[in-house]
Order: sequence, then C-alpha cells, then structure tokens
Amino acid sequence: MKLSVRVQQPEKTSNKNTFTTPMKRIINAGSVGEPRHGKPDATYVLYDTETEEVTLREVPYNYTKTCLAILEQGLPSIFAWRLARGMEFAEKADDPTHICQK
Amino acid sequence: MTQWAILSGIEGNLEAYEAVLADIKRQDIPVKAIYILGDIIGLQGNNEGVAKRIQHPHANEVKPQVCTGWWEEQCFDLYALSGVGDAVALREHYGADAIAQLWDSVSRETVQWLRSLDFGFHEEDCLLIHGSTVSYEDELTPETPGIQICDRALRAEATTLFCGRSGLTFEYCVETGRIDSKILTLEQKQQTSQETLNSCRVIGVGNVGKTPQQATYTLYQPLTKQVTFQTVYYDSNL
Repeated sequence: MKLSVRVQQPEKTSNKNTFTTPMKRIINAGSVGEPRHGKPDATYVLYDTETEEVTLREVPYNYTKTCLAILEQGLPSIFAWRLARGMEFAEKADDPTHICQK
Repeated sequence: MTQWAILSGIEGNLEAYEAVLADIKRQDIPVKAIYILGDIIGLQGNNEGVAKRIQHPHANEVKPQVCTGWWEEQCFDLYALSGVGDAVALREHYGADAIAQLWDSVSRETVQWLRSLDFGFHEEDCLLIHGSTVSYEDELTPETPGIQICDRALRAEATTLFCGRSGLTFEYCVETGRIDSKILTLEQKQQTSQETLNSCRVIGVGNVGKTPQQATYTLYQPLTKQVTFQTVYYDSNL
C-alpha cells in the first residue's frame, strides 16, 4: 500500500510524507469436515513459521462413506448433499432449523 | 457563500461556549449551521447551563445540531443506560470523585435529552462524529498512522471526516493512496489487483471547554471545502 499524506496543525509546519506500508494477509484455513470450495475434499493450511509461507492443502478421502453414514443415521439428507458437493444449499433441507445462509 | 461551525468538548464550560458563539457571530461569512461533536458535559462547571443554552438558542442564533461523545457515554453508563453501569472508564481517567461530580451535575431530564441525540451526522460528503465510525472512544490525532486514517475515512464513506475526540485542531489529508492485492486460491491461480484510493481527510475540530480562557473550534466552507481553525481567548470571570 502506497500513501501520500499531509498533516497540518495551526502554528506548525506542514508535514508531507509518502510511504509504502505492507498490508496484512488474511488466510482462510478452509474446512476439514464441511468444505465450501465446490469440491468434497478436506482442506487445511500449512504455515511455515520461519519463512511465513502459506500452503493451501486439499486432501481427497472417501467422502461417500461419510455421506452414507449421515443418511444411515437419519440426519437430514441435505447434510450429505452439501458434503458431496462442497457447497451450501441448505434451503433444500427438510428441517428448516438447519437452514444456513449461503 | 456560507459556512459551518464545528465544535466539540464544551465539557460544561458555559463561558467558553458563549465566547465561541460570540466569535461565530463575528464572522464575515455567515455561519448557517453549527455542529457540536459531543462532550457538551464534563467536569468544567455548568453542565445544566450548557445543555439548556444549546437547547434554547437566542432568537438570532442557529440551533446547533448535537451528537454524543465520550462524556455523554460516561453519563449513560452511570445511569445504567448503556455499558456495564459502573463507569469504569470515567474512574480510570478522572478518579472516583468524578463519578459523584458527574452524577450530581447532570439532571435526569438532561440525561433523557442526551439520550435522544445522534451518534453523528452525514452532511454532503462529510461525516461529523465525536470519535469515528469505529467507536466514540476512537482517538484520531496528527500522529495516527496513515493506514488507520485511510481505514476510518473508508468506513465513514465520506471525503472529509470531522472528529473531536483528541481535542486537537489538525487537518490530516491522504492525498493519494494505492493498494496492491494478491489472491491465492486452491487452484493456485494468483489474481492481482490494484486499487486507487480517492483522496480523503480527517479534521480534528479542537476543544471548546477544557483549556481555561482558550477555546478552539473549526469553520468549514462546504462550497470551497476550506477549513479554518479558530482560537478564541476569553475572560473566565465574565
């Protein structure tokens, strides 16, 4: 971020300054059990504390087994649906108390 | 051509407020609006007198538009109308005696009036507020980092942010600003973007009542966007 600023106060010399300031990083750590990136794979983040490097990780697993378990337990089928697709679509849920915002 | 007078921090000092009103009347360019950015009450003497004077201006005076500030929030806290009800910030800054002093010097009727006041005003491309959109406690000064000034101005959705929390008079302009951003996703497609910030500024409007015999406030011409800081010296034995 590059800024040019000027500060004036009564009875003081005007102070003009141009500087570059590093901005912050925002890292979304993903989701292992309920991913929302359009795929069913588990996601997480590796962070190198020395180099500050961030690596986004995506791990495939047998999610169909989990989906079947959801259905077998009698949980709302939308839970299996959204896990299989990695996206929110809770409006289809039978039980409205489970509706989440997209 | 007209202008606004913007003041903050009367803090119960009626003599200082009268001196500023007299200075406003002396202006060649007529003052069509008066904004008081909070802290009309405090420990400087006559809170009730100031509250009444603001609510009932003389026939030839503009009725001020008032928003709440740090002192009003302490009062609401004391009356258990907000916060936790034990005025922690007031005790920390001014000691235990200040609690009784503030309690005794503001009537319940005045508290009700204070409760009806706004948090700030959006006028044209300006936001007028005691602290900032973050909080009434947010203190912006000439030493505030530029990035923080940008953040407050962007939140304000205004070109000019007038504030009174610091009690200082200053003009802090961000003349140009550029943000470079990079976005990395799981697909490893790195997107870069560049955003240019419009120029913005924060104006510290001064303090009317805290310093005996010396009040500061701000005049603003909406047409030319020009800011003028006023210092008024007055006799405190009036």
